[in-house]
Amino acid sequence: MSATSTAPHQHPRDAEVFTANESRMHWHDQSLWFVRSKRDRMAKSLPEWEELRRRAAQVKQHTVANLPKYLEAFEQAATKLGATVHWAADAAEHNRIVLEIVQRHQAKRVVKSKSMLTEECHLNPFLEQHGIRVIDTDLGERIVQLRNEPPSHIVLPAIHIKKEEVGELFHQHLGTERGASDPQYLTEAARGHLREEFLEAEIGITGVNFAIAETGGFVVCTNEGNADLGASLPKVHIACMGIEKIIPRWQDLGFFIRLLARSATGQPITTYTSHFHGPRPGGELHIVLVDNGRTLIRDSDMMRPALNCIRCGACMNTCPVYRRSGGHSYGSVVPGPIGSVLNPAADASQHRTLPYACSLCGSCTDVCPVKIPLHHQLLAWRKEIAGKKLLSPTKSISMYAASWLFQRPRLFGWVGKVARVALRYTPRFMIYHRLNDWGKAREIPAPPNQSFREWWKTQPQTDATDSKTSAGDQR
Amino acid sequence: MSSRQAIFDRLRGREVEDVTLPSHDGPWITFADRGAQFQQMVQFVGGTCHRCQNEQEVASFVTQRMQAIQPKQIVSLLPHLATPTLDLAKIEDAHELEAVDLVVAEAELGVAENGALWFTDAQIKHRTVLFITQHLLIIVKTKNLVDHMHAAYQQVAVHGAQFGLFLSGPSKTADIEQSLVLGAHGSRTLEVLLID
Repeated sequence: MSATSTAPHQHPRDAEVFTANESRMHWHDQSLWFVRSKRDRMAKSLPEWEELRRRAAQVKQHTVANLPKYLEAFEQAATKLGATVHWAADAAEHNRIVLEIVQRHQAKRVVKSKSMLTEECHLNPFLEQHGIRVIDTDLGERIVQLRNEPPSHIVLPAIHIKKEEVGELFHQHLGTERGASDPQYLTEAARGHLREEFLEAEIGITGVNFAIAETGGFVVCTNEGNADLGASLPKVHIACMGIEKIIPRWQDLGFFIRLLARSATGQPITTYTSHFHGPRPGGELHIVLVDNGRTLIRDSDMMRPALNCIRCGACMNTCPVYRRSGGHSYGSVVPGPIGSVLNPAADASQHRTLPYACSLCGSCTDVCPVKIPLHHQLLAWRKEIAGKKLLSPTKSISMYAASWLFQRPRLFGWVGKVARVALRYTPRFMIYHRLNDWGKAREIPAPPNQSFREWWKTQPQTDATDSKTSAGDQR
Repeated sequence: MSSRQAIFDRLRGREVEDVTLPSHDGPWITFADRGAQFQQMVQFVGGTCHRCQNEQEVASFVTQRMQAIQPKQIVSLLPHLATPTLDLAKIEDAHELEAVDLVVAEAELGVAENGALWFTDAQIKHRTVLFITQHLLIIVKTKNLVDHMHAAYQQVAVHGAQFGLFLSGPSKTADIEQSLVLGAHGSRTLEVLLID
């Protein structure tokens, strides 16, 4: 996005671009809240919802603790079924492995279904540089691919785009009628266009939702059926996955399949839940296992639970900041609360503002199907970022000043008293200016007549011990 | 050093807090009338589901449906109900299935909590046909319904190199402004006949 490798990405700056169009911001907010409400209805339809979350989190924690054992078991079982397993330390190696397979088959046309990992590794531009045509086949992903931009959400890639814009885009690229914006009509046009791509592709690339150590197979979930067509028409199937996608047992799928679609889109299950075990007769199956920073996240006690993530997107749909600032303001492939946890792990300096794109409301933690303590992790990141002296001067100076003042209760009381009076008479330009982020696009609340401590003193003190400890200023 | 070795060294170099694996046993949700719940869920996910009391009802529904769709190319794994025009066994390349209009098949199992149907390529030689067809007409027996996914995974298994599929409803997308459209890439309709 707008971030470059030299200047750190600034969430507030990119969010401002999105919030400039207020009606669009509200439309985006409501679209996502609609998905969040559907999720709630689904979660409430199951009395065992909380138990499912607990057990899924337990499976993930156990798996991450015993990852070498399960990765080895998976590799062995998958190889026995006839798949070829590859290992990639980072994104560059992942891309080289995929390219090498494509070139070995002298293939020129690749169809890809949704895979956040290949987005993370920027596989598409890499393959295109080598003269390979890569078509994203998920409708939302195809839309953003034609617009030459990254997805803005991990489950709903085109959630930020209006149907009229899709209409214009398809008119240009697929020859639909000018001005047509009916989703049914546009989807039909994409269906026709992508059918041809499926039939002509030589290689199909998919992501992986869950890989089962016990059986050596893996599961891919879609609603459109694009992963299935892409993995069953071309002879060669390449499945790309992060090493954290492993689960130990076949039956563990019960927990995750029940949680995934309900959390993601409020469906009881996705339309297609496909279980791949080995290549098709006469076909080839490659599985690329990628680290790309995951082992580092595993090393950190605080950040490790982020490896539980099943990429449902529920934390984005519920996040008041994401809903109003849009996925692109996060400047990375995975936006929202989970992105704000994962991205600084890859590069804390580059993504220093993301842990502050959060009101610490904790809604993400409440909806996460695998119990990632997202808002606690975001708070921990703030400490880390402040410790690394990566804060902007306006933030670090004001935080330093506040800390100094809070340690001097008498002075704090006096400053409060002065401010309550002074704020009434201060001209607007002295309160609302570029150094006061809190005065942007909103009014500072009217100063109260008395402080909490003043009010407290007027209250009848019934319980002596209670009032003594809570009255505050003892010095 | 290979990347594989590097990843394993890194993982083994750091011991982290472990917990035991949970059991798969419930209590999980149960339904007094599994058939009714299943029927409701198939409709909820965009399909239609008819309960049939006997073979005659099934046959008459299939006839009705064939008249409605007017399929030219039919893959039928239940030839006594619908006459196939294509024989999967004789087809070498899945690309030949491009123009299939209707697939008629029986699901091994159905799941009441989400309307999902289970298939493997042990029954269906070219699994592509389940995705590429325009319409699906699926039979499932009430006695083969289970309440939830835990029971489903306990019952179904993949043996060796096999493909397995839970299918719930027709292909769909809501990628354009959250408007639900049926028939994204796969089948446009899913009709389920539930035989008591």
